[in-house]
Amino acid sequence: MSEDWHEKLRKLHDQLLKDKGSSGSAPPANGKSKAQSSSVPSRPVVKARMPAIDAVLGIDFGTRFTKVALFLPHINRRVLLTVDGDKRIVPSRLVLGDDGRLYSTTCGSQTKPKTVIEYLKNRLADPEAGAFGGYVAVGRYQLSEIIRPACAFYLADILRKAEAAARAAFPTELSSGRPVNWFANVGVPTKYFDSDMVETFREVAAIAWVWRAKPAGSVLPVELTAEYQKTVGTISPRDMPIQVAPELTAALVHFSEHLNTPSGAFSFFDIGGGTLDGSVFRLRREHESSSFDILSTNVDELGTMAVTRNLVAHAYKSMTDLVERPIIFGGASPEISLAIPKQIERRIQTFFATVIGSAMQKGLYPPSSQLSRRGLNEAPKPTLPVFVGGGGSRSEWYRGLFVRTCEEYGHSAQWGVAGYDVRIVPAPGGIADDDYPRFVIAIGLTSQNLHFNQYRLPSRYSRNSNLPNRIVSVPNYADTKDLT
Amino acid sequence: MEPLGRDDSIDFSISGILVRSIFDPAKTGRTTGEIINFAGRSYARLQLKSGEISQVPCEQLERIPEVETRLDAIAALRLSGPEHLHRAILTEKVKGRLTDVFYSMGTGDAEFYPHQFKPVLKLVSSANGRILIADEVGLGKTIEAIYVWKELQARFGARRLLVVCPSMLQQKWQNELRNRFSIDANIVDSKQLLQRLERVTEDAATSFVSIGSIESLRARRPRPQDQEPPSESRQRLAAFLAERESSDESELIDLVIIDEAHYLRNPATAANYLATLLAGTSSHLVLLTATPIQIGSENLFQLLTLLDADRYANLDVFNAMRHANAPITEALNAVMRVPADPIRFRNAIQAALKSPFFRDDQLLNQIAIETTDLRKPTDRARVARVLEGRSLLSDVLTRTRKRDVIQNRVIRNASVVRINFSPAERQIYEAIKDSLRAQALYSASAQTLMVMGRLRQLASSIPAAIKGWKENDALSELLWEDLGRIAEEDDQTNLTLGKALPEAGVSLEQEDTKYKELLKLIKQRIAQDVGEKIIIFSFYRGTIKYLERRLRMDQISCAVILGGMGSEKDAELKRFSDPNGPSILISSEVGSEGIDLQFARVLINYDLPWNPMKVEQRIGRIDRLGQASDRIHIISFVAKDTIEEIILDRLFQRLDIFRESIGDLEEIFGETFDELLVEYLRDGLSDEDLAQRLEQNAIAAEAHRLDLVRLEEDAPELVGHTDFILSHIQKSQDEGRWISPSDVIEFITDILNEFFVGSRVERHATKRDLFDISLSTEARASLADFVENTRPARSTRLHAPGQNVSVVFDIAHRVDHRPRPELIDLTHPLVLWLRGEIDRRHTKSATAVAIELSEQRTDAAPGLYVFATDFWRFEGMHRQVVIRNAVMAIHDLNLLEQDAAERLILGAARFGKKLDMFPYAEMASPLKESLALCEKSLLNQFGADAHFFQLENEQRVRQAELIAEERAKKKLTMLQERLHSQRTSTDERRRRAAPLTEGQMKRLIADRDQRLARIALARNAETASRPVSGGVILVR
Repeated sequence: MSEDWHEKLRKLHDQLLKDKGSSGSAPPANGKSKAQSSSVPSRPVVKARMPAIDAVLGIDFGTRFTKVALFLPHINRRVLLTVDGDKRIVPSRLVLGDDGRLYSTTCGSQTKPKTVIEYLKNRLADPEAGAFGGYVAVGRYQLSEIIRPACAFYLADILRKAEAAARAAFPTELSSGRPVNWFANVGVPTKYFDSDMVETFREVAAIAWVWRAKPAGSVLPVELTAEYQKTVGTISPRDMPIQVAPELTAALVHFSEHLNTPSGAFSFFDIGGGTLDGSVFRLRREHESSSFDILSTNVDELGTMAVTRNLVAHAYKSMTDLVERPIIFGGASPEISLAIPKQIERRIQTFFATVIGSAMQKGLYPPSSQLSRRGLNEAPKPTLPVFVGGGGSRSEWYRGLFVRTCEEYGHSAQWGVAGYDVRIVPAPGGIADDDYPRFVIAIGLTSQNLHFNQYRLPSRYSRNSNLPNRIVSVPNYADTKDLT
Repeated sequence: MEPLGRDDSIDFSISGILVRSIFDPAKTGRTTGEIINFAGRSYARLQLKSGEISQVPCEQLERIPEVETRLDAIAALRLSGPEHLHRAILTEKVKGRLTDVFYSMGTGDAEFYPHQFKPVLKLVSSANGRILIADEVGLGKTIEAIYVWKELQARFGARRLLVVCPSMLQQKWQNELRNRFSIDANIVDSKQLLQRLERVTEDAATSFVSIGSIESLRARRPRPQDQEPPSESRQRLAAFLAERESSDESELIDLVIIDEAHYLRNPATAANYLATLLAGTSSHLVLLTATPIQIGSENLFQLLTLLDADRYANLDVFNAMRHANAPITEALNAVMRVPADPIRFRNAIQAALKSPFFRDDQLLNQIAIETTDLRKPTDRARVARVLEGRSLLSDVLTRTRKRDVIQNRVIRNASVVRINFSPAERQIYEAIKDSLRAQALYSASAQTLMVMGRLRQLASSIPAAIKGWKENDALSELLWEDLGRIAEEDDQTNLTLGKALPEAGVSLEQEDTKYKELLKLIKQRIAQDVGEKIIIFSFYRGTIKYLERRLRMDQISCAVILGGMGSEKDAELKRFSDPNGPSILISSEVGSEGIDLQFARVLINYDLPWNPMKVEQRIGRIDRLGQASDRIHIISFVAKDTIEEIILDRLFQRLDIFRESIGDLEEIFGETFDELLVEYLRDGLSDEDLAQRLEQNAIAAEAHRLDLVRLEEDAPELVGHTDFILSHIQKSQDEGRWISPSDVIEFITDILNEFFVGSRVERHATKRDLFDISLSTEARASLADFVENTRPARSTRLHAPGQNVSVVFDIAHRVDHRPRPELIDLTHPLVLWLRGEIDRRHTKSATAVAIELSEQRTDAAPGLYVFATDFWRFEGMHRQVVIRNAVMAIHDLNLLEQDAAERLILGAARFGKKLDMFPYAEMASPLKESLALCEKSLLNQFGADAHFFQLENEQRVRQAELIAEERAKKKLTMLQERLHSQRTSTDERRRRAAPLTEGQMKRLIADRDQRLARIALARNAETASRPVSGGVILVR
């Protein structure tokens, strides 16, 4: 046998050991560096033998913060990317500098920020609504006029940073010599997915995809608008590697990927900072594929930060009793205790009950065909599994509230459920990160099945019509949204 | 090696093409003919193995090659991830056919002790499926035997177990099976057993686990003059068994366990006849005996004859074989000691080859001329295996002594409390004793036994005995408990006690000196240590009840354990073991069988058994595996001037039985001691005579004991180097050569997900050891089919419609939940069904993998490794099925040691991540070359092993033929004699029976020929190897 291959092997051996293995958590990417950094060691590569690999980015474009996950299907690995310095969350905002140029996220040290433009996603979805701080002037434009280019500018920056972060996390797998097919999915609030608005999101995402190839930097609003108009004529958004998907389906997709999940009814609650998003769906596993019947969805500003603000507002209202009294009469080290008012708990429970209830009305559990006699041949009452995700999913208080609702609201008698089995969402495949429940939407957005599963969305999106009157002291939605 | 863009572009609009992903070759499917264009890309819709539809980018798909070896796969870099390696290995393990995996490990709710798997190890490799377990008391023989059953169930799908034991132990067996192994067993009599066996002949899928007593099953040997077919059920059972004994049909019973087998060793008895019948109709036989086996023992010969009637023609042959065996054991020990001793080994082999038993043995001759220095572990293992196979005794006998397994012996502190009877007590005692002794004089032996029993009761407790007699209590339990005798059912003889009995009133109890001493002692002990746990032993049920009543009256709470209590016993034991529970446990030896009392360290013999072995058994309850205290206290009560005092002083004390584990004394005592006592009563020996005779016995016993110690140290002829076997078992446990509960969970989840999507195995939210399983509709239907067709021995609710079934995988957790969840282990129908599904569907091709393993997860040095894993199967008269690995380190191209190789591969399968090899594509061909080297090394090893197997098989075939011929010859001679006597008989009826005998002879000849033909088939041993997996592992 020739000694030739021994020598080759030894070279491979040395090369492999020199290459740093990808660690489970991605190292911070240098946001400013160009995507292909030269620090990646070069090695002999035979391109002809190397098939292109896929790299899928999932972008959870949140109201206040954006999160990005990466999936490499060929080695079945998912990671959360540290897109902004060492942080896994990036503010969803643009900054208008005093030089009149737009900057993504922050404008750096040379320029002073003039206006911070927040809630990009909500403004894009609903440009005429004044809920997000009224009209903002961007140069000679009203913000509503340039919101599409602005969002595309922002997303392009996110995509650029994400790619760099991905290459830093997987230096070997995504090396410069390696053909890579990049893909991305951007989340869209479920309530807009049924509407025309989804086309707007798709267009903005597609433009961002084109722009990501441009060098990072600032831009004048007027140039941005012109560039947008120019680009939009050259693309066909449905054929781009970047696509959009409803946030809810992103949260659900790995239910179907998790083969250990049977057909049946489930509920999912995303406990965010600002909002609490609830849904009930039925998963059908048929011979062919999985489909989701989404029976009800709802959202209310009952996330962890919203509750916190509410609580502070409540304390503010009764600060004499709650704070001043203990200071005067509480001895040397007064204790100030703040009990969560019953009405907040009630609101969360009512919201929970509404989500479940509207699914019940749509026939979540079809009534048994046989008349059951008490104690005889009575089918056992079903327990509804309720999965929770989001930054607040670790809260035992929320989970406890959900569980208690069954008894306190008489759901057993009313709807025939035995109870709610509240659990944190199971980890998606290929991820080794304990913090995954916070990022469940971003992770879900990396799934390729996202577009192939069937999702039957509720035909009409009803807005809180059944909910009791708002309590006045609840802070503005915009102030609390998505604070994680 | 082909370039990537193979010239076989696929038309995805055609359905039914088999394709796979280039990144994960294990992901395969058929095209559906549909193409989806989405986001500027074409996706082919594929139907996966599970039936699910999946979309895969067209350019990532390729046709599945018709044949792809590991070498092809690595050259083309078609490499899967660790989960496929894990599945491949786990599947081979769970299929239950590997000979180096312990399928019974972890199946019992009991602490792990390596020695308890010795019988399993031996039985699996044994040719005839028969074994004698002769461990010392207290090492868990019952559990060892049940492990054998679990092993047979998991490996061969054994369905029928029969336990035969003295009736006093039936309950104990039932409890042990249920509590530790979750096996429900029925206690049967001869009629019920016969019914079950008759069902087996009609339906081979009949399953049962039954317990029968020696007393109720035994039947006398048929006499030549018997003409009428037997009508009594025991005789009918015997006739049924005898008829099938010689036939070559599938065996009636898969495993027969005979407990206390030494009661069956006398060939003249009905019990022995039962044992020979059962041996002839079962495929596996396990005999248990606590009676020590020693060198030169006729008892051993008789027990071994029960195991294999044809092997040892007579005692002389047996002794000759023992003698011939000595150098084999010597050689074995030389190989297995650390370090090995090649010189001793060679001398022993030469010595062995001089004996006629081994002169023509090809394998031994080959080993003798080999020049191995025994340094490589693989060499040693191979040689050891050969020697074990040669051993004439050790394959049917396993014996573990306490000193082999318990490192730090507990110190026994012994003391005696001598009771001075009050004058009134003395008067009663003497009166009754005289009356009884008068009746025993020149009596029949049954009568003598009765007298002995009554005397024993009196010695135990005067008030209790008198009360018992008035109520006419039965003696059989006492005789078993105290004397270890099984009373014949027709033994009940009435003794007249009437005149001697005083009115047992309050005064007798008040004056009970013995009880007062006991109370004093207990109070003293508890005052010293409130948490002290004291066990009081008595052999008499009356005494136990009496003590319980009196202690309660004296405000001392106690727990009580008696034979035949059933599950109540567990509650009592739990109460006693609770630190705040009662300080006292009153028990009989039989009552305490099989329970662990190691947490107690004070033992009171309220009465003394006459048989020293019984004393040892009592002490064995607390001086056993797991005793936490380093010192235990044994306090014995004895009344002055009684028979007991004589026995205590002249025999027990002299032998130091309270301090030393006497273990090996039965040899000299066994029957002589019983006879002596019978003589004492029957022939009216004086107390002085008795004392003298006892002393003679004690001296003889001591001399014998010294002999034994010397012999055992010199040359352990019978049993090999225990340490080696035990460390082998320990290693098997450490390195995962058994099926752990998590293996079963992973196997089930994995296979269900692969084949039956929509099924679910879900851990309970709060009770971590409890799982819910629900099967998809298809899975339920398939399982229901399986259950209907194969009727597995265990039942399940999993295929019932709409069921969510609670299960546990670890037997230790089963009792914690109500209602009882199903226990899923290798013998559960779910696992059996899934095994079948794999066999039905599994592709035969081996997957190649590329895995990255963190260096924290392995003891292998960082670097690149190439490996090949093969499955080897050798089948002839015996089987050997193993998984073998070859792992090569790339940096120096050296092969890893077998053990290190296995550890690395298992670690990679369990903890590894998928490695992307495409960036190193140009190295594909050198990697292929090194994999080829691994394969070659495996092939060489396989060749060598196959060669050895063939030689060994040849030897076994020759032995088996010899035995079959001998057996037939012996029976034929017997039948011929019978035929002759029938033909020449003057009795008309006997003459008419002659054609029957002729028919029997014809059947026998036909049967012999069939057996020989089958053995001849096994001569051509089948040896096969097939690849399981291969690929690269990168440690960094």
